[in-house]
Amino acid sequence: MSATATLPAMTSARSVPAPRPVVFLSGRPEPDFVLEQLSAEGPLDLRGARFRTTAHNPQHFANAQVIAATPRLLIDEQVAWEVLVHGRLAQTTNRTSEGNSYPYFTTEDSWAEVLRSPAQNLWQADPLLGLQTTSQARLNLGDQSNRSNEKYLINGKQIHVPQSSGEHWTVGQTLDTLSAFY
Amino acid sequence: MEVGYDIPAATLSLWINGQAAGSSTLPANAADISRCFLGGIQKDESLSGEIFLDEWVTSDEYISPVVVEPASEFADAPARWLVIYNTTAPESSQWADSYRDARRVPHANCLGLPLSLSESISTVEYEDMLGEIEAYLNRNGLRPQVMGILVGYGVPGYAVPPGTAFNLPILSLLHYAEMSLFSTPNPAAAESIHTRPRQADLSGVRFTARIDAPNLASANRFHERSLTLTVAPLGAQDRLYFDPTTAAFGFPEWTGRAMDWYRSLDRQRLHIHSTLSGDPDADNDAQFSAIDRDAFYWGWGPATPPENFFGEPEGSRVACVQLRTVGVAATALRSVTPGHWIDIALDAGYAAAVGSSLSYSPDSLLYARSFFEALRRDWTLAEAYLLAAPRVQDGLYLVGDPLLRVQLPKAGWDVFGPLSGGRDLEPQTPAASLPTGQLTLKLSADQLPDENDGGLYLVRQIDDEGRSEANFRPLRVGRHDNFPARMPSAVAWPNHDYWSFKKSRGVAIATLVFATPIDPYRLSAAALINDVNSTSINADLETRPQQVSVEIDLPPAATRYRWRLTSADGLTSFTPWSAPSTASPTLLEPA
Repeated sequence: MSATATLPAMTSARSVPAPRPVVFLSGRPEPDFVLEQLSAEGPLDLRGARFRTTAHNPQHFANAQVIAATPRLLIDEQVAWEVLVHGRLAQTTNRTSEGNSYPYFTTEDSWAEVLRSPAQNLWQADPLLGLQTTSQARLNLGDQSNRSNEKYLINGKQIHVPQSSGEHWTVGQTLDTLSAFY
Repeated sequence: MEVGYDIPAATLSLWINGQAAGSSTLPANAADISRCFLGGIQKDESLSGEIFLDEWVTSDEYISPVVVEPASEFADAPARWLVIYNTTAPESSQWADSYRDARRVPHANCLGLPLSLSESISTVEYEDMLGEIEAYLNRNGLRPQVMGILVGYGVPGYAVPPGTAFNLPILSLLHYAEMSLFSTPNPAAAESIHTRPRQADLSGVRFTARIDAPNLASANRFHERSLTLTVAPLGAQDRLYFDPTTAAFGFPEWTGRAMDWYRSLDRQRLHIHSTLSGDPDADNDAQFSAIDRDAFYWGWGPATPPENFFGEPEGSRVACVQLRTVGVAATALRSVTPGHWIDIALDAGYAAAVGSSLSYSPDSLLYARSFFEALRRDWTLAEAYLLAAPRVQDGLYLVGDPLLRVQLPKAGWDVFGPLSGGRDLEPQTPAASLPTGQLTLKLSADQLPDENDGGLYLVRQIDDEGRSEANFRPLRVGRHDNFPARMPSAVAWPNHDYWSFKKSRGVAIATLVFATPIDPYRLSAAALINDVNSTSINADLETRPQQVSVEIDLPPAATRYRWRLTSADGLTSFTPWSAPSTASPTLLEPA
């Protein structure tokens, strides 16, 4: 069977420009919003973002659900979205860029919100080697802080346990501190 | 060196390298012989010196030369070859020494015979030579391991039947242990090859090749070039030149088969650029006037090439196959015939060549597919030739180091497709393999995209080491007037039915997001259309690198919208439909 057609010049090695993040408000792409800055902190990946907008009535967007995501072209030209930040627009401030003043929004990622929420129920060891819950506790961050002096046998393992100072602490602090105990 | 006493026959014999070197009558008291003096046989009578023995063996039966176990079960092991040289010509022995050292051929696999100094001998003389070869193989236990015979420098190249002017290539006759004046089917040949032949697969046929030249230096050049090619990969610029004959010339089956092979080169993973002299289907029997950057030439044409045919810059010049050199080949190689294609090709630096010395049946024409596939698999030249030859013991012959192997270029592109999706990808079996620099792929009928839905093609780059990149480049292709063309860019949003507009300041705004920044080849227009009338609104593609938007008046109730995208090649695609609008702004939510 002889050749009948030619596939277009498709094999050049040029690199394809990287796709840019798209800002979605209430589930729709919002071309008037641009992701200006994305921050991520620590091993628990606390994310925050700053958006610049050219919308005429930016006050309408306050507290709107926002998602910044990057489209990723898959091998078969299907598209997947890589979510960078997912939260609510928090506040508006005016910032100056290239001589123009634009309103900016900041948002905290919903995961960061969870981490910052107060931990309601914590378990701590009592002197009789029992465990009891406490709703009033706070742990300091760091490798040695709030770690019991003695090891306790729990589930067959000798481990240190958190010993709180009796003040509020957050989910993020809990995770961060527990990770130093084993 | 071996001394034998045959007391019943009353003879004393001397053997050197497994060959009888002389004999004499035993003395009367032979049974009492307890001392033997060994001496060197040397034509220079003034030479004197010592002989150091590697091994001393006494036995009551014939002791053969040391037979070395082949390193492989295939014909790439030197111990699977028998190298014939001519002890009548001192330079032939020198060549045999040089070849043996270069290729590490065991001594037992080198057979020196006292032969004629003429390049052509009678078939009667050939039968004597054949008898010596077969006797040597039997006597020394080499028959089970030897798969091929190399006719060396200084050995007669042609056998001429009495009363004829036919020049039967001796290497062609040696394919079988029996003499035949007629061409014989080759059971090892295959139009497409799958497994590498072992001794048991050959059904009695042998590999053969010939090395000969006007002088010793030129003869040595064959294995020197061969060793160089084994370690130096072909360059990205090396080319294959293909010059078929037209079907009208008389061999339509061969022409058709050869053209099928040539047109499917992309799918044979050769990664080599190729050039066709002229399309034989168009009855175009054009020939090349000159070639350069040539690694391979495969053609059918006159016995003499045009002047300055093998031009510059030179390619790697691996093998030149000229299938119609009948007539003047008998004196080729050793006594160079001016103007003979094979001599000129070898003189231009080719490491190997295939030609013919007399007319042969079209049934004998070589399979190019098998030849190049064997080389691609890193098999030897001799294997490639025999697997490609449907018949043997005719006029075709192979000149060159049979152990030659060539590293074909690995760099290029692998193309997969058409696929319906990524799950159909079979990474080990590309639909086509293109050399570096080839930016278009000729599609056969089964490679065309689907008529309705188009197809997905994936491309990956292969480096010089044959390693493939991790990422595939996708290209969605459809049919446009039966020709493949690029589909519009992939849409990231809206990618589902019932998408909605944004309402702002009394208008509705539709936004389109692409998965990658807009590529002008893949997007020449984006228009918002509705299902009520044929109105379309074109979007400005210049405002943002990855998004486009249009504003429309608030639509009447129950109107649906979607985007129509057009690529630079004129193909169109559509996004899913929006949710139908309602009189109330429910689906056009306020921002």
